[in-house]
Amino acid sequence: MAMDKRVVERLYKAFSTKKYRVLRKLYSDLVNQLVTDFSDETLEFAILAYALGKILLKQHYVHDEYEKYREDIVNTLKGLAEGTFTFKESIAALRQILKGIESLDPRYVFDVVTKAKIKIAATLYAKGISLGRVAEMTGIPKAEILSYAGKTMMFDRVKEEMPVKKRFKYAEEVFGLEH
Amino acid sequence: MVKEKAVLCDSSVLISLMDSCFGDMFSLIEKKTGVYFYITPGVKLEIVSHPLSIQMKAYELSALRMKALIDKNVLEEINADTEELTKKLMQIGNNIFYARGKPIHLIDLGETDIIATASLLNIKTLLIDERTTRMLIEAPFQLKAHLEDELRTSVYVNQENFREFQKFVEDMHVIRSVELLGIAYKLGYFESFGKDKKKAIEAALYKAKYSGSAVRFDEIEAYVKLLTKA
Repeated sequence: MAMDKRVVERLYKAFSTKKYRVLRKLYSDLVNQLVTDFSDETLEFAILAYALGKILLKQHYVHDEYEKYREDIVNTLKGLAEGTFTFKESIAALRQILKGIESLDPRYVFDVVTKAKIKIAATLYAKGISLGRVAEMTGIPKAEILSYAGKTMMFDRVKEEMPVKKRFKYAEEVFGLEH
Repeated sequence: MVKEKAVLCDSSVLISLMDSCFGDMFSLIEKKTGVYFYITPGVKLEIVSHPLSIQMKAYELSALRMKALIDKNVLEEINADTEELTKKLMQIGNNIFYARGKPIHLIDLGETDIIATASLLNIKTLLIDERTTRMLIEAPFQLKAHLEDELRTSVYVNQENFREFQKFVEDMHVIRSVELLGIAYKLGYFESFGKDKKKAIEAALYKAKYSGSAVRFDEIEAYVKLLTKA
């Protein structure tokens, strides 16, 4: 499948002009696309849109010591957009740059790429894709997705058709506790 | 051979219950009710063997808790020749709903294997916290409406696949970890909390929710009222 150049251009323009909201919108569009049109490429772009958005957002990444890393990201995205680098090369390079950024000031056990995958997985689960399927798509363990999803409002956004009384009555019958 | 009073457990419910430290509830329920809790080889591999074999530190404790339950036969591994039926159900199940002209790949091998196992072994009760599989069994049109809401597009139903899938699941019922906690409460699991047992069941239901059980806040309130009246 040919790489979607428009996505690369959107990533490049948004990051180079420091437009966090544009990256956020792109992230949202890509996650929606993953529901019906999963590809490793779309997943990688969604991860990047998320991760680069975080880079723009975090106060501590604005300092001068991160300038070289930000430039490297811009140049890699530009190279990908212009066809100077391949998709594989660019993703590998961008992942290394992100690692480099985080290594200067490590704050979390999970790096930004893993956090992106967890968020994407939980979002897809919230949209209606099964837990097992999203774990398979993103490589994130079910336990991690459940832990994240459990602390969101995703389960409250769907009206349950079976009332609690009815469901519990059935459970009581199964376990021999009905009156 | 499957015992008459049987419940087939999905990995999702075991994950959320082990994470919230309610694994010992299974022993109590099994002893007092005679209901057997079964797991498939796929579930055992996923939540015990795999985490322990590659030393996934974050999940090792849960895996060890579940291994202990399996070793004591509180959770029993059960096998059925599900390969063919699982393939068939995957093919059907992932071609029921269509959006933007494409099928929505909803469920994976593990989830489908649970349904196939239950179907082949005539197990009617599934213990599942995972929302999509549960809705596909219980309320497929609610799932369709939800997908339409989330994707902001119409979702079409392949009627043939839908009817075919329904044939396998129409007699199945799903209960969640919160229902199991309610049963455990009625069996005295929370007695050790003394006068705080009503608070304890409420806290336990919230804990299960935060650990990933697909339950709404208003359902928890309804459960607390239902269980603690009297």
